[in-house]
Amino acid sequence: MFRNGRPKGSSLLATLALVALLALAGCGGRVRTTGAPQSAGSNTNQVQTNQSSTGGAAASQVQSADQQVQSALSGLDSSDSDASTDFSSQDTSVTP
Amino acid sequence: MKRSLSLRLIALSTALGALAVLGLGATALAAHAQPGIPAVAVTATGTPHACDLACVIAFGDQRIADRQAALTKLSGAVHAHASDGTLTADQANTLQADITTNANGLAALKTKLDGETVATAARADVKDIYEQFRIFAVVLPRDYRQIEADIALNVTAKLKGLEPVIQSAISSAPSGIQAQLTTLYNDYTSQVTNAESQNDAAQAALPTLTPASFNANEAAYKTAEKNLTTDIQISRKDLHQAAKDLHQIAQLLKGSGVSAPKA
Repeated sequence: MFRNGRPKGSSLLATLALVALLALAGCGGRVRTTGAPQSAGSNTNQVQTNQSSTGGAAASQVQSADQQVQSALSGLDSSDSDASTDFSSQDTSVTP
Repeated sequence: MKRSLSLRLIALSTALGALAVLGLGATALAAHAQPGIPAVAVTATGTPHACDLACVIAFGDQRIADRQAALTKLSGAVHAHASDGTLTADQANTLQADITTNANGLAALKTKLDGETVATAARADVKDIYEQFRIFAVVLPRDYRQIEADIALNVTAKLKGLEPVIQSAISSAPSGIQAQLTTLYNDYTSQVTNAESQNDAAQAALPTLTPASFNANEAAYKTAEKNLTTDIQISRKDLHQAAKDLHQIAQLLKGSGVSAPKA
């Protein structure tokens, strides 16, 4: 049935390879979930962490923008002060 | 005999004095009787004197210098706003180009005025300082408003661009402050929308304010200018309110402990 014993050796190699793959996959999983419990809820926690990070970054952006906008409004107020100057008295048409 | 002679001398002096007074009055009346071509000017000391060609040229040169100085000041304001980033480079360049056009026009008029050989021609040049350029009546008020309108436009764009960021921050904020944040955000968006509408009206009105439109119908011009001022004032008020909302949102987020994750 198995000529020269090669199929038997192939099966053994395939089994070893499968075991090695499973072992590696197991290590990878642990690395990816470091600090997180190995449970069915781990994926949900991952999503919540991402959302929180996004929200945190947005909150920081809001706080930074708040300062920039206050500064821009100072420029707006200063330009309003200039624009409110009454120049009309200097345009009375006089010819000597 | 001596008494009679004294009386005669007194009478003669009185008569001569009266004649002198009448003569001066007649001269003054004659000066006023030529509308458009005043024969006298008033010096800095208040002493009236005849305004000849040199006097008209000196008068015009001073008016031109006043306008050039005011344009230089305007240019400085544009430069300052471009430097601090409240105006974009394009906005600043457009304003500087208008300033340069007016400054060059005034310089050319000064050359023409200085070269006049007849007082009436010089007076016509002086009239052009007002009617052709309208630096104080049109250019300065309009361009300063343009600066303000452009800054309002830029602040509005910045606030508008923040809307999705604020929404994202609110959605991740603790549930206990979300209602308060949402109320502030709704007012914020409403104020920004109102400011946009006022900005559009202001930007549309600004190009209609020209020396030509002023000369054509001063009353209509002043109405348009007043409406423009109102539009920008409302926009400024809306932007201040939106900024106040933003500040409160930022403070609430900060207080709730929502902050950027550490890298």
